Formats: sequence, C-alpha cells, structure tokens
Amino acid sequence: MRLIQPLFFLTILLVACSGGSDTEETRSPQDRARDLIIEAQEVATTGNTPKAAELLARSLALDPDHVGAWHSLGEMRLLSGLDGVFEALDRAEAMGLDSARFHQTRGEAYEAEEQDSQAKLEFAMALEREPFRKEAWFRLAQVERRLGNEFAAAESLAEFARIDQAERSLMTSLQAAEAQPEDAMLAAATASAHLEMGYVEEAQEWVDRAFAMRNNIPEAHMVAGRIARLQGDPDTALVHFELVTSLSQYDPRPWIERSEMALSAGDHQAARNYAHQATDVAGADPRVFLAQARILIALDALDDALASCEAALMRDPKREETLQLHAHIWDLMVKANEPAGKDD
Amino acid sequence: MNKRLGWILLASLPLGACDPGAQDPSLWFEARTLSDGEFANVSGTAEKDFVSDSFGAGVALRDFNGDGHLDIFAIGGGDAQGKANGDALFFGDGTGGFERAPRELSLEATPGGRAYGVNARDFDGDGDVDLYITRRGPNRPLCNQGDGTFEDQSEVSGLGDPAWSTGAAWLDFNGDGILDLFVVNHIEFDLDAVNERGKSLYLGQNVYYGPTGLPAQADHLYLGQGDGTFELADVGPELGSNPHYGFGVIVFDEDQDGDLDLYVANDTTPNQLWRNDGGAGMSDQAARLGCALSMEGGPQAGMGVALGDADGDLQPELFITNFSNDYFTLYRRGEDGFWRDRTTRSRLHALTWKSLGWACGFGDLDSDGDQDLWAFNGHVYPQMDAVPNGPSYAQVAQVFENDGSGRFSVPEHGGGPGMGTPRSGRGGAVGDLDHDGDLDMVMGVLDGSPVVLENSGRGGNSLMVELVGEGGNREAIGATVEGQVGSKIQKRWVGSQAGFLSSSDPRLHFGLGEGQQLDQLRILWPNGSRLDVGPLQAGQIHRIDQATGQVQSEPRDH
Repeated sequence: MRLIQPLFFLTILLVACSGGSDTEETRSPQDRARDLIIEAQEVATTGNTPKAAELLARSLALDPDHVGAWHSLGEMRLLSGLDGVFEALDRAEAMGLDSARFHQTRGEAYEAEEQDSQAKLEFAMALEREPFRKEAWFRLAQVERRLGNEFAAAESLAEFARIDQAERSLMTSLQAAEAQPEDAMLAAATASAHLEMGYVEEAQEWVDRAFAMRNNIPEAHMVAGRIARLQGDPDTALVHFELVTSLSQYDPRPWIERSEMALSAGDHQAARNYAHQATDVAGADPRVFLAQARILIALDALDDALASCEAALMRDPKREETLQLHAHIWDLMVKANEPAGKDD
Repeated sequence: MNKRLGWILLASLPLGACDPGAQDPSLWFEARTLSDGEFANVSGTAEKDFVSDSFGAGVALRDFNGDGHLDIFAIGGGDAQGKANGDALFFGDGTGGFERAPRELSLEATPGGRAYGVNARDFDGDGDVDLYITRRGPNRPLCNQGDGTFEDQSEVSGLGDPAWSTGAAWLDFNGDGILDLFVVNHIEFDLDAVNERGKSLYLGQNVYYGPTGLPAQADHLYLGQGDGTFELADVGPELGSNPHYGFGVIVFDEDQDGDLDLYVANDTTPNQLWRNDGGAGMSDQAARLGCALSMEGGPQAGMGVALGDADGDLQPELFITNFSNDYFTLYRRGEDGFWRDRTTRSRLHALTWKSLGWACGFGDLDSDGDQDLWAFNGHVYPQMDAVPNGPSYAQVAQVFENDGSGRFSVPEHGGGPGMGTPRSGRGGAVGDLDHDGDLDMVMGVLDGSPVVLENSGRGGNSLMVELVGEGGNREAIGATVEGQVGSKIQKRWVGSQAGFLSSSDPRLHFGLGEGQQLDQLRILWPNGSRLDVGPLQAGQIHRIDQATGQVQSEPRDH
C-alpha cells in the first residue's frame, strides 16, 4: 500500500541524526524537527497525510536543510491534494535529491496536473535509477497510453507484470527455501527469483548455495550464466548456458541468451541462428517466438520478425504484449517503406 | 394488524455540543433506526465464520404502493448453510414515518438461498416498481401488482440466475426498446470446501477464508424477449472467460456511442468496464483505459460504485469504495477517453484511508449545486476490534462535501450525529423521504435494523425531475440530463443500480442554492432523441414524459 513507504527513507536519515532526550528549552531545532518528522511518519501510516504534511512543514521551519523532509512534504501534499507540491520537490532537488523515488513522486505530481509528457520523463528517470521499480513502470504505461504510444505502454505494462510476478515468486521461493534449506532446486529457484528482481548479489549467494549441494541443476547454471553476462564475462556465461542445454535440451532460454550475446557482439548470423534454435526446442511457447521477434527487430529483419510475432499470436491470440509488438512491427515496416523526407 | 412505528431516536447522541440550530451546518444527518421489534438483518454468525456472512443488507428506496411516498425494502440475510431470513417492506407516510407492510404483503423467505441485494425498477413497464433480489442461490424477480404486493416470476422469466449474485442492473443492452438485465456474480461457494480451507490470518487474527483462493463466478447478461421472458445472452467469450468477485455495477454510455456500457466493482480483482459493441458483444476496457486498478497498479477491493460529475465539467467520475488501509478511488474520464485516478487531487485519499466502504453515492446533499459524496462503512472482520490500534469492526458513515471544483472535505461535525455512530453499514439508498426537498438516506445494516438518516441541514433550494420513458424502459434508464442555471450546468446520469446491492429513488435531484429555478433542462433519452424543457421551478417535482414531451409539475409535498 502506498502509505507504508512514504517516509521510509526519512527513517534512515533519522537514524543517523537521532540523539538523546533533553528538555524542550535545551534541545536544538534539529532535534525538535526530528521529533516532528517522527510524528509525521506515524501519522502518515494512519492515512492522515494532511496532518503529516503539516508536521513536516513545521519541522522544515525548524530545520530547512533536511532534504528528505522536503521530499516527504511534497509527497504528503500530493497525496492530500494540497497545493505546494512542486515547491517542496523543487527544494529537495535544489539540495541534490535525485533518487528514483523522488522522480516517481514528481512524475505523479505532473500526472495530477495532467502534464503527461513531463510525467513520462520523470518516470523514465525513476527507472533509470531503479529499473525494478514496478510502480514507475505501471505509471509510465498509463502515461504512454494516454500519449498514444500503445506499444511503449504495452512494453511498460509487461515489465510491470514481470516484476510483480517476480516479487511474488521471490517471496514464495524464499519461504520454501528457508523451510527446506537442503533442497538445491529450491536454492536455485530462489537465486533465479532474486535475479529477476535485480538482486544480483543475493542471486549469486543462492546460486552458490545450490552449487554447493549439486552442480547439475539447469536453473542454477541459467542464473550463473545470466549473472556472468551482467558482469561482462561472456565466456563464463557461455559455459553455463551450454551446460543448461546439455542438462535440459528443451529449455529455450540459453538459446535466447546466446542470441542476445551474439547480437551484442555484432555477429548477426549467429544471433539469428540461436534465436531459431530457441523456437526449434520450444515450439509451443509463444513467449519464445516473442523473444525471437524482438531479436529479429534488432537485426532489422522485419519480415521475419513479423512472422515470429504471428507465430506467437497463433499460440496465444490474446496476449496484449504480442498484439502490440505485432502492430509495432507493422509501423516499423511502414516507416521503412516511406520515402525519405524532404528538406524544407 | 399494522403496527405504527415511531421513530426510535438514537439516544445519547452528542447533540449538545454541536446543535445544528446553533451551528447551522449545511450537511447534517440525524439517525433513526427502523424497527418493528421483529425485523432485522441477521447474517450468519457473530464471529463471521464465512465470507458469506460478511456482507449483504441491500436496501431499496422506492414508492412501491403508488401513494406518492417513498417506501423502504430491506434484505433480511441468512446464514452460510443457506437458511434465508424474510425480507421486509416498510411503507412511508411522506413525513419520514414508516410502518411495516401488513404481514400478508410481506415477502417471506423462500428456500434455495439467502438474499444479498435488491434492484427496484419497473422492469415490466407497467408503471409500478418491481423487485429483483439477488441471492446465493436462484435470484428472484418479483413483479409488483400495483399495491406493493409481488408475484414471483422466477419460474417463468428465466431470470433465476443460480450463481451467488450480488449486483444487478437493468439496461436496454441491444437497443430494442426492451429492458435486459446484467447480473453480477461473486464466488462459487462450497461450504465443505471452505471448511476444509480453515481460517485466514489478518493482522494476527484468525478470520474467515476468502474470497481470495475461492473460484469466482462469471457475470451474466439476460436479454429481454418482450414477453416477460429473458434469455442468457451470448456477448462473446470475454464475459465468461475471466470471472471476478463482483459486487457493485452501474450502467451508462461510457464512450458516448449511443449504447449502454457497464462498470463493475470487483473485490480483490480488477474492476471491469464492459464496453457495449452496439448490442453485438462486449469487451472489458478498464485496464486499457485506466480504471481497473489502483494508482500503483494493484487490484483494490471494489465494493460499491457510483457515477457523477464531481468537478462540474460534464465529464463523468466514478467513485469506488474499497478495503481499509487503502483509498476509495475517484476516477475521472478525460475528453481523450482515458480514465485518470483523481483521488489525491480530490483530497479523498486521506479521507477514506481508514474506512472499509460499501454503499456510496453522489448527491447534492446540501443542495448547493454540486455533487457531494457519501459512503457507508464497516469492516468485514469482527476480530479487528481485538487488534491494538487496528481498524474497528463498526465504522462511521461518511459524507464528503464538494467545494464545487471536485475537491472534498469532511463537513463540520462529520455531517451530524447520524453519520458519526459506528455501525456495520452495507447497503444504502438515497431519496427525499419527507418531501422537504433534500436528500435523505437509508442504510442497510449488517446484523441490525435499517437506519434512516434524515437530512436536516441548512440546504439550498432544489427540485426533482422524474423521467417517464417510452415502451419497456419506462424509467428511462440510460438517459442523461443537463440542468442549467445561469451559466452553470449540472449533469445527471439515469442509472439502474448504484452503490452497493441497493436501489435509490431514480428521480433526479437538482440543488439550486439560492436559485429559484432551473433555466433549462436538456434530456438525451435512451433512444437518442432529445428534449429541452424549462424553466422548471424550485420546490416542485417535474414529471417529463418522453412520448408526449409534456412536463407535469406539482409541489413536492403534493
């Protein structure tokens, strides 16, 4: 829920500046400001955001250098429908605040003012700083749709759904793995769930646990390969992906990974071949054709991409992501066939 | 036989500190419990062992016996095993007094399921108000015989939907001039299976299991055949393919293409906006258009839903009540066709965060020319009272005063003592019970008697408009009306059911403030024809007939 987190980072800031209790007369303005922030935090969790905003404003009158309090004031005003949101956020920005959460808040403030283009920029900045911030993906999707960018909206929404699902998977797998710490498969699944959420270090820890118990689990090698890719070590990644294929020959994912690696390396023919290999081993899965289509778009093979997309649609005709990609490819094809523009 | 009921004023209300005479508030409600000593809603066990015990208590506010005064129909409840209590009809005398209908006119419980909601509309087009009662078990269509007695049409009409139904809305879906019925369904409830699941844990308390984890049931559309019978419509695969835990439903022409669309509030699952494809089919556009989920992308616990123009821009807003520790959502439809979550901007986020809401509605409660909001609340888990600093089981009702721009606040003293008493509010309906020109309310209370909330605030002038449609759609469901005073225009949508499992008086109330008349009233009838009438004087009920274009005006206390 929205109000669980608003003052979360304030708590962190407060820990650093918490001091002992003194009489009201002897306590510094900063201490009294801190107390007001704590009170605002408590009030905010009950939903009384106007009161929280009031307390934060009082706190800032005592200690105007508290960057987090300025952001929270903007956030509480936004939630309360009060004026002065941008004023508070601008103060926070002027003091150097540039976090994902800050940009998310400002994006929502622009949305409330129906300034979708500005909101889009803010959500994009939030995601640059925190790519797994699912709320930003959701809001970005809404904004993109209103701006008429159906494909971008679908892509954002798919990312939101993926992270949302990954969050649930992570919780489930963590519970299961902690209940059965000797189960290597569960450890590998937990590693995968962490990686899906972008928690690379934790994923590495869990994959190490899995390997310590068993070294022939395809999922563990899949995770290890993806981590190696993220860390810029394609040779190690390739070793793991090949092991996945040898252990689980119908798993398309290593082929997609290898295709993407080849694409990055500029080996277009290999990229194409590996993408086809993925559909060869998992021809019933529309998601594989979808992934193949994306690679073919990157290769500028639009006719083939369209065919892959249609293959995905045959297997799942209602998948919004695929429908939008299909429309997007058509758009690209139309643009590619347009005559070059005239100079005015 | 008839036992005259005196109002039972709730004692010990804190009137002294906030006497309406001294404060002269514009929004002030006083509560009276409607009881004959026999009827009360009883819903399962006090501990609410099953999800089926946790809601119900729909109410209808209509003139059932044709005497010109609003009457109250209240759902009696039942238990998880399927025992049904009888429902009750109270005849109003037009001054705010009510008496229980004679026993021989009462609706006795019938086997087959307990009742939850009621839709009171003239669905057979004969000029009196009929009932459609939704139940866990076959629903009951009941045709009024003209005097407040009803004939059960379950066997012959084809409307006895066997699912666990909650909301229901009449509309002419396919534009053939005959009313059709959309039935909202909830959970596939198997008591043995639920028993096997045991309890859920919420805030450290053992509470009933569900709805999450239980299979949902698909909503149904029934098409009227013109002879009093109805057939299940085939409107494409989407309606049945992804069922949700449905509750409230409203009808309106969302995309302004001449046919009626539906919006359904669903519990713990995304809300749905069923766009009507000219009567040929329907598709859910809520996610695409931005009115399915919360501002963070999660499903909310949609209970009741209401439609109105909050900010006076003639575009519709949707107001949806949800669970506690969440906000009641206000979506605004933009001219680009997308819906935006306007809850924070409307200031409703903070005002509704702690409430668990059910019935709700727009209404110009202080007759000042803008649409206020109201919501009846109450938690689903009695166990919440044991949670330190947790939400309370019984909760206060809420009224939100509009400042005219679509920003809301809680009025002074919370809207009076009637709103401030914690109850298990569920159903709710609105109408002018005492012909004094303002909107009163009736609350259906879970495990209690209905409560009348009499509006005694200092309101402005007002008038009522009653539309008489053509053919089978006699109540002009789907019409839109714009009333103009000077340069200001107020818009109303004639719906079928709003709020939560309940039916309000469909006559349209226009607050005029200090004004003495509506300069002009522009009606867009359900068949697309238009009629402009006016001026219409304050203090009157204006009955407008689509067929003749005639306006019949009479004093409201006639």
